[in-house]
This record gives sequence, C-alpha cells and structure tokens, in this order.
Amino acid sequence: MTFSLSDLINPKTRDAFITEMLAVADSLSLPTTAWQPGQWTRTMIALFAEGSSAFTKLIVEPIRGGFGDLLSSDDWADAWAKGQFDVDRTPAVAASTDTFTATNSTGVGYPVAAGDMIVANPITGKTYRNQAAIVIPAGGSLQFAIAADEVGTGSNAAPGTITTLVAPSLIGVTVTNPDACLGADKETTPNLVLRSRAKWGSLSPNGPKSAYDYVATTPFLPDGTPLSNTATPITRAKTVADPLTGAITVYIATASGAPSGPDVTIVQNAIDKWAEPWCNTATAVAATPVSVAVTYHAWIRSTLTSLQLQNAIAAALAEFMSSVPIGGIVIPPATGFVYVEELDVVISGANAGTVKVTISLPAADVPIAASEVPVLGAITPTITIL
Amino acid sequence: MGIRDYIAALSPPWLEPVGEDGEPSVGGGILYAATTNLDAVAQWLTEGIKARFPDTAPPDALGYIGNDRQIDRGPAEGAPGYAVRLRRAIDTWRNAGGARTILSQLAAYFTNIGTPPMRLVSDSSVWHVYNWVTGITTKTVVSPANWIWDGFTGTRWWRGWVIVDTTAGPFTRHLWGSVPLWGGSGGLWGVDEPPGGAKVSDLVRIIKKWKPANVDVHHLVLTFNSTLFESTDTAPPNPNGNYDNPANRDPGATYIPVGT
Repeated sequence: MTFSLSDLINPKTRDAFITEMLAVADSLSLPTTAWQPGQWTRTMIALFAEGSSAFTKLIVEPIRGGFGDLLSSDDWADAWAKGQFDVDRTPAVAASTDTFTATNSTGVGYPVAAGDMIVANPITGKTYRNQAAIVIPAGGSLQFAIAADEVGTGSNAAPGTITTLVAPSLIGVTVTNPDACLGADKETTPNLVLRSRAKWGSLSPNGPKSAYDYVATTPFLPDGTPLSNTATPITRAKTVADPLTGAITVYIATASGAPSGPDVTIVQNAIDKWAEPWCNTATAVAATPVSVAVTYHAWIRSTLTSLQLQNAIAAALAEFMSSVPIGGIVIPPATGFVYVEELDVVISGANAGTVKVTISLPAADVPIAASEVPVLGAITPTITIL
Repeated sequence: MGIRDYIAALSPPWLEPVGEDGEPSVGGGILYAATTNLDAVAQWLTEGIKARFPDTAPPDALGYIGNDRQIDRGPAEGAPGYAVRLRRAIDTWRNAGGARTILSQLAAYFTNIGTPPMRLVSDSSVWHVYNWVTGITTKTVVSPANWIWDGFTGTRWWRGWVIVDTTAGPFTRHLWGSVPLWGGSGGLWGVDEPPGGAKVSDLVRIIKKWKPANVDVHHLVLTFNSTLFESTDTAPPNPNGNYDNPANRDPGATYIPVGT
C-alpha cells in the first residue's frame, strides 16, 4: 500500500474504519450483512473503529510536526525548529522603560528596594516594578527602570499612562512614564518557521540575503554566543543593496515598529561579526514606521458584547500588522503595500459570525517603501450586532 | 510478523479467524479485522516518519521538504532527482552566493525542460560557464575586459549579468507587434514562455535567492542567437560601453532587469 502525504496528515474517520473492518470480515466469509445495529458484532466493530480513528488523530500530529508548513501547534513548531535548525523561539519580553520618573514633593527622601515599588496603568490595570534599588530624593525627582509584571505586549503603555503608585505608600510622590513602555510577545510560529529557514543562508561565507536576515533576527548562535540580545526582539529584517554603490542595508523592525538605537547597534555588531563578507559593507538601519489607521464597520451575528468583538478585531489587526514584512507585501513587479483586502480578511476572521465588513480607512492600499514598516495606527470601530 | 498475526498467535482457538471446525469465527473475524486496522495504523505511522526524509518521502511530501530546505523545484523536475537535491541541501547552502551554486540551481530548474547554455559575467569580465554534460562550472578571468556594459564598468564591480542562451528553447522570441500584443494576457516584454513550463519570473526569483546580497544582477539576458555573448568573444561583439542605452543593445536578446 502506498501512502501520500495528504493521506498521512489527515485522521481517518470512524466510519471509514467501520467500512474497512466490515470488508475484512466479509472476506473471511462472515455474515456481515446480517449484523444489525446494536448487535454485539456491530458494537465491537464500532468500538474498535472509534479507537482506531482516535489513534489516527494522535499520530497525524507528529507526522505534521516534521514539516514547517504543516505544524499544528506551538509545541510542535518549537520541536521542529529546534530539531531541524537548532533555533529557539524568541520568548516574550516584559514591557519596560528606563526613564520612569518619580517626583517627590516632600522634604523626606524615600529609599525603595528593588522590586518593592509597584506602579500601575490605571486604565489597563497592568502593574510594573522598579528593577533596582532606588532613593527618591527629597524635593526632587528620579528616573529609573521599571518592567511589567506580565511579559508580552499586553502590558505596553503609551507615554504618560503609568501614573498610579500602588505600593509602597509614599506621601507626596507622583509617578509617570515620559516614554512608551514596550515589550514583546513570544515569536509567532510563522515567524519562527521563516527565521529557521533563513538560517540556511548563514551556512555560507558568501553573504546571501538570508544570512543577513537570519543574523539580524536571531539573538544567539548555536554555540550560545549572544548576537543581538536586543531589549526588544527584532522580528523582521529586509536586506537590500544599493545598485549605485553596492552597499548593503539591513532594515530591521520589532513587532511593534522601529527598534531602539542601542538595539540597532547590537544588530550592526552581529552583522559585522557573522554575516558580512570581506570587502562588503552592510549597515543595520531601523525601518521607518508607517502608521496605518483603520476605520471599519463590521456586522456580526454574535452573543458577545460589542467591546469583546472590538477587542478580538484589535488583537487580530495588531498581530497581522506585526507580521507584515518590512517593505510591505510585494506582488512583483509592484512595490510593497498593505492591502485593504487583507485587512478585510483579518477583520472578517477575527470573530465567528462576521457577515460583512466595510473599511473606510485606509481608503486605498497603503504603499510601503523598502525602508518602511507598517505599524497599526488608531482603530475606529463600528460594530453592528445582528 | 504483523500485529494481526501476533494477536492471532496469542489468541485461544475460538478467537482465531477460522475455528477448529474450519468455519469462520465471528469473534475471531472481528478481532482479525480490528488488528488488521492496527497494522494499517502502524504502517501509517512508519510512513509518516519516513515522509520527513527525501529518499523515503512520498512524492507530495517533497514540496514541503523543499520549502523547509529552501530548494526550489523545477517545473518538470522528477521526484527522484529532486530528492537527491534536497538531500544535498546543506552542501548547496554552504556555497549560497557563489557563482557555481547560482548556475547549478538554474540548471536544476531546467531539468527535463532543456539545456540552455548558461553563463555569468561580472562587471570585471569574470566569466562562469556551466557545462551541461559534466555539471561543472568553469571560471575564466578575461583580460583585457570583454564585457563593457557602460561607463561605470570597472568601477561598479558589484554588478553581474546572467546569460541564458535560449536559442533552442525553452523561451522564444516575442517580436514587437506579434500576438499577444503588449497588454494582452500572458505576455512578457520580448519573450514568450512555454505553457506550463519554465517562467522568467522563476529564474529571477532563483537568481535573487542565491546571489550575494550586495550583487546587483544588472540584467538577466535571454539570448535568441547562440553566437551572442560568449566568454571567448571580444568587446564588441560583446557590450562595448554603450549598453546603458537600450537602443544600442544587440536585438538578438531580451534584457530583463533583476536588481539587488
């Protein structure tokens, strides 16, 4: 019997097993046509068929787990990337900022041990802690680093939004974050697959594009040498060369947009060390963010609240936008775009029961240059529950 | 011994498919049918594991392995040959960016389609010529330079050209005014592709994938005249410094920009 891969990756149904078992029994000259539903013979066959079918549901998972395009779960994706490429999924990073500010209007200084100051975003309720011991000076202010208690982008905070001092109780102390507090979610499976495959390029000393892409997005080499243990993971890279100079530019971006200056420097050092052949010049550059605001109207058959539906769409749009490559989606010979049709697909797929979606903003496909990365702008939702 | 035989050997006589009286046994028959299923599922699992490996994978698994190993398959390339190339993926990628690998990947793409002579030439008149008989690429440094594209030759050393002599196919010349006209369906500028076969866009994609990042592949040159653009030619007839103007280019070829 010959199998095709499509046979091997799709479980077989109970009914199919019943048919096959009856055929075997028939070949043994058993009176299968006389067996009635409910009779012990049919019951035994149904039980065996059910068990066999359940077993096939189990075994297709490891079979699918051998192929990057067929991975059925994050666990299998992790095993695939590690086993085939020795690549680890980039973990989630807690949102953090180095410029969190506490201002003390009293005449008494407050020493606080590391981790003892808890501050919060009053809108989201997310909490953050100081990373080192501090002393808030009397009649003055202090900038220091905080990090979110929960890893991932759920604790991201816009400037000026972490304003509640939860603990300890310090009379006369106000707090705020002058800069955004940003973290990162764990690497998605599609990104992990792409990055793993890009590792092939790093085998060559001749500098194919994928070598640069891999080094820019991979924190460590197999020997554990830190390459780009950036504060925020670099999730996207695009390597282009200037035909007039031969110089290479590696545009890099995080899931939420442009990386910080220090992170760009770390990537540059990694490229210098591991990707750039002699006599070539490659420069890491932060991709320029292009904000894509989305105004939509969705008609959805659902018992969920409008806010729940909006949140699901916002999450889907954020995930989608974080995965759009630098330079946008390119359909040759055109340059890159964020396509309105794709946004429509994302919004439509975010909630079961979505009947219709109209998008008024962006009004047309958004052009994205090779040096640009799209980031999600303001979302203006209208939900009609049917 | 399969599971069905093993279970049958362990079973009491009344659970064997055929009873001691020679008559079919209902209980034994059902057990035999069930254990036959187990044999099938065991084989399923075995084949599923073997599907990961190019040499033992079913044909429809090769594309997935090819994606994972980033080896492009030619439109007419058979499964056995493609499996061999998938097995050699590590060695192939170790020379990614090398001229030999660019040519070997293009040659693989043309498997069972044709053997169009292929060569690379750099801005410095370094030629790499692919031999279809031996599969070997030969490098020749020509001096004085015999490939002088324009006034930048000699300074823009990072430029290269891929030359595919398609005089004997698979591509054919599409002359101005012939059907389909410009803007018609399926047409490319100056070249016709065989239906269901090789595509120029595939060649461009393969070249971009395997070239060094810094190299500007100035053009993919599809020649329809087998005497054009040989490594042994002088300049002229090879480009002699004025090919930046398309009007000066030899009309026996189509010049497709590839870029960086």
